Amino acid sequence: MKGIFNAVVTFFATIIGIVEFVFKALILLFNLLYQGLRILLSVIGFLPTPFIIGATGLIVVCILYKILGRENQS
Amino acid sequence: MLKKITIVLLSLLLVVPFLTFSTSAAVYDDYVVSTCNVASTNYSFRSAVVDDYVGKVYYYYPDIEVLDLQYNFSLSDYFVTGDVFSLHIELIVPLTYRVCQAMFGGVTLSSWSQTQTVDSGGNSVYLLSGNISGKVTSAFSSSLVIMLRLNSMPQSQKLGVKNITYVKNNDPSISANAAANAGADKITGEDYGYSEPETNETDSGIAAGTNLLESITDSLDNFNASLNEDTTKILDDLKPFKDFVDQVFGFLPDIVLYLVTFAVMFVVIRKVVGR
Repeated sequence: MKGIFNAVVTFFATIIGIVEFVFKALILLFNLLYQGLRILLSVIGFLPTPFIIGATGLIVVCILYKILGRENQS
Repeated sequence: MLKKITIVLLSLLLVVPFLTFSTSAAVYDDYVVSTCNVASTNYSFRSAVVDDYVGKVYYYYPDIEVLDLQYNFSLSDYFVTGDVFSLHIELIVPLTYRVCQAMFGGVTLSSWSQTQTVDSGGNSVYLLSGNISGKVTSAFSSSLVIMLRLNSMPQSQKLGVKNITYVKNNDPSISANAAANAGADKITGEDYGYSEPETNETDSGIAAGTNLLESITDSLDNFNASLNEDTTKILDDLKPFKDFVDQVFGFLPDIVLYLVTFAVMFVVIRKVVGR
């Protein structure tokens, strides 16, 4: 019985270890994305204010145009 | 569908930490625990107490790959043959450690629980804690050997023992429990025809797999920690360029900047809308 208990405990410990690993990997991926955004925003911050405002406006306009265009199709 | 997957993932994110911690709950609550201050007892190393580090503080240098920390317990002070012992060991180690094992009295500990913390010097470190338990035999070794394997680091960093807690358990009732746990109980000791293999290849394989899983999980933690530090370093390195870029754009009159912005916006919107 002891051997069986040990096997069961080891099995579930391994499963939990794998799940822990998967979620740590997911968190790492999100952290990677977050750190990338930090660097990107810091580089964008170097640009003059009119460029940033213009680029932001362009992105908003393009997204709105895309969404409104889809609604007209449906 | 995507929403359902997101809900399931978020639920698991909330539940998994509790599952993990519940499996590593301490089993020493029922025991009379004595704390043995490493610095105040007669160990073979110097009794320096530095910050959070009790006992010998090792300075780790980049050319060391495997480091053996050896702590000599004076067994005559603590244990005699027949004692049921438990050791709870706490170490403070750099974030770059990979494998950590401890051996005491022929018993090997291969799993540690780790918590990332900050020592009083402001360094990010791991607080490792692990337990070894067994029975004192005549062939009992008198030294506690802790083996650490470390990645190379760009600068020296301290590591050392924070605390060692030992349990000497000769209480008959608890000893009976310990004996039951060791397989003396009729039910748990019955193997129902199962015989252990002559070679322990299976056990070795399981242990190797467990170590591998711990190793790759630790490597994720290490990467995560180094990622944050590296990003901060990159951002610090970028700061001098800001002055340079400001000066470059400072030559251009504001009206030129606005005209360029307007022209680009006009061309892009015209292109998008005109399709």
